[in-house]
Amino acid sequence: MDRDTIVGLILISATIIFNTSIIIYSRNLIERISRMKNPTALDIQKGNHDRKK
Amino acid sequence: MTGKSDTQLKTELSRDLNLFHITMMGLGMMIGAGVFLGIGNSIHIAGPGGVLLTFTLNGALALFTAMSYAELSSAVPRAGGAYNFARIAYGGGTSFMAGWMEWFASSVAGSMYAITFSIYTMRYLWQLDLLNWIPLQYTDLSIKIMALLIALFFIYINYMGASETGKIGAIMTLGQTAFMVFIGLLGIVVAIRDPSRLENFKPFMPNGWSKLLVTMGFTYVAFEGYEVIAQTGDETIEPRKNLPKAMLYSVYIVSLTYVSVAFAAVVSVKAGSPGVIGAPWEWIGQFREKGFGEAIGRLIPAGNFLLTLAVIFASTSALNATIYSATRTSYALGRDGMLPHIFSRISRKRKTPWAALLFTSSIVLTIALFLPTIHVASSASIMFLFLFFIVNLSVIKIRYNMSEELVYGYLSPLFPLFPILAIVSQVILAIFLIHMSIIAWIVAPSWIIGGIIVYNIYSKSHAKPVESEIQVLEEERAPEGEEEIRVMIPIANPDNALSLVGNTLKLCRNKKARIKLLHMVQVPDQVPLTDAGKYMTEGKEGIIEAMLYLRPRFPITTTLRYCRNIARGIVSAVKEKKIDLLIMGWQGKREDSRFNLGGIVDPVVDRTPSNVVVFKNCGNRKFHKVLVPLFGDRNDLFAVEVAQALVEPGDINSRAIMTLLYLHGERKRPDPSQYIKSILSHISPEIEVRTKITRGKEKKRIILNASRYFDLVVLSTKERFKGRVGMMTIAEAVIRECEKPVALVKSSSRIISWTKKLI
Repeated sequence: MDRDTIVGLILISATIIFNTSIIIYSRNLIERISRMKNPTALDIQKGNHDRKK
Repeated sequence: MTGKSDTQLKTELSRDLNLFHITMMGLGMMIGAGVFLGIGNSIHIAGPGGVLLTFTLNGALALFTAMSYAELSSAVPRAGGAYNFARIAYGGGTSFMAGWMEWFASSVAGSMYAITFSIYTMRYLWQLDLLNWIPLQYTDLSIKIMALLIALFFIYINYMGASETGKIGAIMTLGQTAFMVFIGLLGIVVAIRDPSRLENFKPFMPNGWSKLLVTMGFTYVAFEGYEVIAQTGDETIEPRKNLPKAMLYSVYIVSLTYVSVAFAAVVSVKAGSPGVIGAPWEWIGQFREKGFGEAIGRLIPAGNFLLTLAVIFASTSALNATIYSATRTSYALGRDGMLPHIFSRISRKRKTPWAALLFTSSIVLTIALFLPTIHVASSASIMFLFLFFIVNLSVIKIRYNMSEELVYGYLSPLFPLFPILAIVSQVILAIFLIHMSIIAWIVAPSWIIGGIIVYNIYSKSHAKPVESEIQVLEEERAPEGEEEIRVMIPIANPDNALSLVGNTLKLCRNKKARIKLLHMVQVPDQVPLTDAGKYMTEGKEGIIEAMLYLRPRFPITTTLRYCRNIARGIVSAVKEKKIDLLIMGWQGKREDSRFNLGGIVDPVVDRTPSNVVVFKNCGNRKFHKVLVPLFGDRNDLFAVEVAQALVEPGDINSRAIMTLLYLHGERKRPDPSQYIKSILSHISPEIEVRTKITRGKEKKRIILNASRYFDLVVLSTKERFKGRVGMMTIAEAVIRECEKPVALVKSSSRIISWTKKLI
């Protein structure tokens, strides 16, 4: 395999892994936020679940 | 979201799109033309490895912007998309430019879908030797004419106010996605069985790495589906949760699908096979936008036919979606005073924004007719890149300025890294598109300059002041009481309102009930639900009349609900409000012969998780003699309960009469006398009960004959697994033919409802 192929394949694999991680992370975050009551951005960043309950 | 009309009625929007529906809407918009046109061109420009990298890296780039959209949509879940976000972040001028660009981007995308449809359909017809009579020099012209015809057809469809329903659209998109996934998997299988085809990837980047930026910019339009998801903010169930999920899922699914399909396209052609001259990637690339079709034709025996079919479905559904999305945007600009008032005009007959559609159509048709395909696709991409640039700026501004005011359902991680990466990469891709199409770089900035002029000359002085967006986020809840049951009455017209009210009073006589009066207002897809106030007409009258009669007896909530489909809207309202009993009227007419009782009653009876009573010809009469056919199932008890509430004595000296007609079929049923005895224990001693057991196959005829001697027939119908089209219960057959007043009842079955939901 030439250099372009190796770099290309690494880039493709890394991007797919990165995208998958973002999706899994985002899904978990959305589920976590959905259990919070009216969370603002600051509440979520602080992980403050009960602030407005 | 709520608002109040001048009659103190509460108005609300019907939320009936779930995560699946909106994900499919996003996918439907994406798997349109970008990929079909893009693969051949990308192979030609960037080579076999370049096409894989194009779609992989574009997937990541699209994900960056999707995260911004997801965050903003979760915080401001209402229709409007980029226009709405820019309005909150920067106000007047920027929001106008976002709307102005979105209008053009969607219109140009519509032109592109029409051309894609035309290219692939004509190509297939030529292969079948059906178009040989067209002289060679008129090939391009014939493609343009075909594109115009299909665009005109969908403009007409949009004018008529019709569009695919959520479910049909979702199923079609599912089919397209499945087909693309199938092609991708087939490519992998072919490569495993014949590893020599992997040699097609040599050289991996024959034209250098810089070409990658050109192809990424060119195919970016194939990832723009999250804009249409953002538009559904007012209609989605749990929008804070479902909108961001749908945006991220659709981009992820589509990027994996595109990469696998691009892989399949490259390995589909075997080097040295008949007709293939030179390296396979060069052979595919020479066909440019038709390259994908030529490649897949070599992969599957019936590939050409299947691919043409897929392109027809994909491009037409995307064409339809873009026309109505562009119409909606220009309509919203007109409504807000940013474009002349004519843009917000609604057709009285069709209820569609005809002027906005007319102006949108002129853009779609002009671009489709006069611009070559590659420039159309480049113009669409460049405009979407500019639009997403504004959205990524908006997410940063809104997060920094309003993080303590807005309620979020999702936050982009490592903020503001991804919006900044998206902005930088979008600028680079837009610049590199100049290598693909100089015309696109003339058309798109010209449109933007035109927008700046229109804003300064007209919009700035005419724009209506905007209300605070945050107020929209507040939810209005009716105070909860200690009622036993929650009853909902959908009222369609004032004529049957009083009869429904009279019968409701009887049914709820001795109960602590809370009554919810509902009027559904059907709004065409082309108009955002938030603007549905224009359609509120006769429903108000009926609902106010009903309110006057019921208010002294029960706590009343009155609601005008905007929806796309009345049946879905009623079912969604029943679920949201956790209704125990739904009371409806049926006038005995079917407008659609596919349904047993009509396009509203059938789906509502079938899908509502509550108990349902449907009155036919009941008026405000008194019922002294009631017939209750028993079928030996759990619905019988509910039928008897309803009959008991409706029947009343003729005078002081007589008693109300209820006749239980047990229909003993051939199938094994409970012992009739024991069964009737158990039913009798639930009936008040003040009612005179007569029982009759009959045997026979012609149950419908037996009930119809017996009904002649009664004032009212109370029939129970069943809930079932399948849709109602083509199937009819005995109760439905009777209610259609019975000349006496009938009450059709169905008791809820949580188990079946859950099973149906799962299926």
